[in-house]
Amino acid sequence: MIAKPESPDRAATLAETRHQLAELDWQNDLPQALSLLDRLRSADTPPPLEATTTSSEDIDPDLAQQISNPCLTPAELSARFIKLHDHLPARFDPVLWNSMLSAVDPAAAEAAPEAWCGAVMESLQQRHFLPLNVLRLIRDRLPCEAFFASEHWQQALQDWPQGNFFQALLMRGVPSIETALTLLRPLDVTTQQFDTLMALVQQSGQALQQGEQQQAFDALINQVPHEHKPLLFWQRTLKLMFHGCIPAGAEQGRAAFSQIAQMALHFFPQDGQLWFLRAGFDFHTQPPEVARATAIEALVQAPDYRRSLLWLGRALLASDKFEQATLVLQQLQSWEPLNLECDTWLAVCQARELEQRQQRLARSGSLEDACDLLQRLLDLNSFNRPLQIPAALAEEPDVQALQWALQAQQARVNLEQPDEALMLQALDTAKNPTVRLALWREYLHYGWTLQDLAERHKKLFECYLEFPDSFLINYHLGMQQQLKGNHNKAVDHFDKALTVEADYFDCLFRAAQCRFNLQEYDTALERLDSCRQLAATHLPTLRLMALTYVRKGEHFAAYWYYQLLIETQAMSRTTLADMRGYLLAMVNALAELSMEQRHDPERTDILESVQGTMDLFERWPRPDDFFQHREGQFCQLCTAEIHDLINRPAQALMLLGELDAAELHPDWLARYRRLKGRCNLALGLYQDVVDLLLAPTTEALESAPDAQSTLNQSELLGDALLYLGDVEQAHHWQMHALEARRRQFGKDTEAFADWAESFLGVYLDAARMAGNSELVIRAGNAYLEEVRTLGPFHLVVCCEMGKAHMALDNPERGEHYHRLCLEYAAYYPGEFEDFVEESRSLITESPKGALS
Amino acid sequence: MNERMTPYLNSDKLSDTQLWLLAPSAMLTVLNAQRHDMLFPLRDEDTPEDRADTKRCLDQDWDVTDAKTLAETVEFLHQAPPLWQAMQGWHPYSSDEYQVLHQGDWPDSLKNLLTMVEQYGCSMPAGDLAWHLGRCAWVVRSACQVGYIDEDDAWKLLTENGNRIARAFNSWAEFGMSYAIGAQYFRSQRFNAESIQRYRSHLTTLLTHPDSPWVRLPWEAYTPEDVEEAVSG
Repeated sequence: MIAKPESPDRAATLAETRHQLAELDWQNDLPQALSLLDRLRSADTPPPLEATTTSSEDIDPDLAQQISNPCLTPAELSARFIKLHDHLPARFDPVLWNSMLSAVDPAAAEAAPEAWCGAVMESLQQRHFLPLNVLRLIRDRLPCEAFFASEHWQQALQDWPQGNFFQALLMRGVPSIETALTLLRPLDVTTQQFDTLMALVQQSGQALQQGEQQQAFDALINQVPHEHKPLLFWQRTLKLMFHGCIPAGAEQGRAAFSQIAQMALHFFPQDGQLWFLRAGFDFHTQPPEVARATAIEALVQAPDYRRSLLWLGRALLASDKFEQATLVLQQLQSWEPLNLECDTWLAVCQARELEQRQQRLARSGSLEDACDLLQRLLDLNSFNRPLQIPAALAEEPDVQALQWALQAQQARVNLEQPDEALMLQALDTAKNPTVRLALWREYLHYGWTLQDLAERHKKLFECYLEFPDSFLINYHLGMQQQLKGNHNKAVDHFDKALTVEADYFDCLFRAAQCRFNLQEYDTALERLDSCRQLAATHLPTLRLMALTYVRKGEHFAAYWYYQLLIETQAMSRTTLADMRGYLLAMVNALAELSMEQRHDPERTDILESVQGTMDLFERWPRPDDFFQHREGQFCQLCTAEIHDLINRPAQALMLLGELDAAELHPDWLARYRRLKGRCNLALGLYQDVVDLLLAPTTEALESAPDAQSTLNQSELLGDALLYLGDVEQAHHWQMHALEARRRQFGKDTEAFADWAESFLGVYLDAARMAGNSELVIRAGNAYLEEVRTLGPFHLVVCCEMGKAHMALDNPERGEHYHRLCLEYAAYYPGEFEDFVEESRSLITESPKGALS
Repeated sequence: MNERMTPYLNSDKLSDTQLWLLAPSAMLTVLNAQRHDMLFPLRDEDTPEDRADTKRCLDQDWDVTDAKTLAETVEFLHQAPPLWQAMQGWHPYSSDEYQVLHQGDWPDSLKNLLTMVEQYGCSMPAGDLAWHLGRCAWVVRSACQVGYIDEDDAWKLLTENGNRIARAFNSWAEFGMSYAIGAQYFRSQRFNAESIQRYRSHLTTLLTHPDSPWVRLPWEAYTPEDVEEAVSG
């Protein structure tokens, strides 16, 4: 297996860490060493999107939209894809890269896999992390043998002479080793490596499975080459030998292991796995001091292979250095929380350490040793261990206080209520600051059960005065303030706490939440970055990141995080439910933004952003039963609504059409009808509007005449009937809408007048556009009746009514309205001049002069 | 550590060897809040209700209804465990290869197994053997309690079981870890901190609590050669 070439930054960090670790006195500086390893681990976590992408201004704004355009040829698509890639630095999150590849993949690869593979491969093979992803995708796209015979494969192998990764790919892709060897034959160097390696592994693996250790060793030892061979060879060889040479009596195996390990480390002096095996071997076969030294050397040489901490921890345990062993094993446990081996050795460590402390107390009988023991029990959550405290010390305030703290801890773990009076008494009497801090810690846990918020806050504040720089106190105060909604104050406490413990996950996450609520999105993202480095797949972190990007208007970034969320939970039962949640959040955020754009037409950036995201969004895979579920239907409706909001009624109708086959949830019926009506209306499908809405709206007039949905549907029906030329019906529904609104506004006549002005203005305009004079007159009359306060639109109304009357052979009434228009025009010079001029000309052209 | 241990009184005056032979069942005994210091795994008194309960458990969970089915179950538990086989197939892989495998479109349970083999591959040559042998000890104790076998036969079976354990492991810690790993493997469909928390907690308790048989009885107190002493004890 090849090691990926390290980026210059990464290599520098590793080298620096090696240097720092080598300089340390591990005996005395163990916490510092662990901290260095932890920091390196954080640096190893793939950097999040926003930390590594260039600013959104640097990326072609329509790229997101274009990249998913199915009309592009594979070559064009690849070019666009690469264009985006060029904006991204080398350490772009590979998980997200995979997502991106997956997103692009179906659009082009289905149509012309070979062309797509060629274009992508040609352009991307120079990038160090991409061949792995790209090759995997390409291999999945092409027939197996076509792929391995292709130029891409050969080129990749030549670029990577130690192409062990590709060997692994090959092994997964071909039916047999014979086929693999045939395919590799043209590549001389690699064939030789592969042949040797696989023969070795096959032989030895088979022997091991059959319990023939000696035969396995022979297979391994006899084939150990003297020249430089691939890393994978050494790793596998040592690993296969490891177990066989540990048991007593396996001296021959041990000697062979030492020899091979020496050769392997000569060729690969900084490989973590080789060092891990070497350290493990020494742990099992050498005195603890030697094993400890080897484990330290392993960590110095390969600080990024942290599992070597296991051997360091166990060697320290074997040397009776319990506290140090605990530190080391706890560190490893924090990185591998499901590794029960850490639990096992930590438990052994704890048992032996407490026994040692108990014995020391028994010998000395000192208060210091008693507090020391109790404090340690508290730290280790070991509250139900039977204790033997000398009688002379039992009444000491600090001893009593600590015993209470242990009881409180036990009560907390057992979900029982501790004795508050006893707790307060202990706080009054304890003198030792360390003991007092321990007491406060338990009290603060207890404090969360207090119903009296004022009392809780008072106690917290007392505690803060005593320990203003304590992580715990600031953390709790922060939580308290956050609970109250005082995000500003909360964030101050969280930030202070984080200066003490920078990697406390919950504190980081809460700080991010507060920043988010304070709309300080960039700072929120910084905190979320840190969270992600500690827990890359913590779903609430990913959710908040996505949402933060949505709020920032960076929908493209948000999209990737939503995608990542779905991928993270790909195999989970909750995926479907989560996906609905994500879609809903996304759709609501987009709806909000598109409304913003509607109110501020100048903001074309929002429109573009929304359009781009919508294209991506619609390509998300929907579960089979998506449309059967209430939430899924709602998501679809929201998506269609956004299309409508950004003037894409046809797309909206298409999405709504997908819902037609499903039984729509009753809660969404009104929303669905309104939206479908709007879209049909916008596309001129007036009869469809009537067919859709007439029956349910007529029925609704009886059952819920003032309901908002009835009102909306009435308006749509009115408009559609108007365009269909059905004067009576059109007016009926428009007036129903008007009356319903009047009732809705109630005594707020001013607000109603404002609404009526707009509504009737639109009505009149629609009647005019439909060329229906009778309706124009009706709409105009309604307007003049409802909108009593004179305004510039009255000019338009009067002009249109004048024209309508004239068209209906009623010149007197026509002249009346035209004159009214001219009369009003005096109040609004310069407004609607076209209409005023039209009225003026129509009066002048009157054949009988009757208008004078 | 949140477990309450039953008192370790040894009121039946069992020998250390006998107590040692009972100790492999400790994980299941803690789970059931039963006594570690007597042949029958009792909670309190040996009542007819308790026996009926144990009988039902043996029947439903273990298909043990008499001496013959007990022998079959013991034989089944003494067979090579599946995780061991899986480790032999996979454990030579390097970390990078595991990463590649993890990226495959496998079911969760297989990915979890890969994680286990990767994590424990260098530490656990015995795999999850203790998961089988530990439960075997408990089944034998229970079968004796409900009268499927007499005490002599129980001690013989426990001794045979103990010999296997003593040969395969070097300490209670190793044995306990192997047992917990077996539990983890057993739950590889739902592999998360929550699903293994109970075993993690029991393991810690048994390795630390002064009343735990694993703390009171040194591993070295028993060797496979102690067969005769155990039977006659």
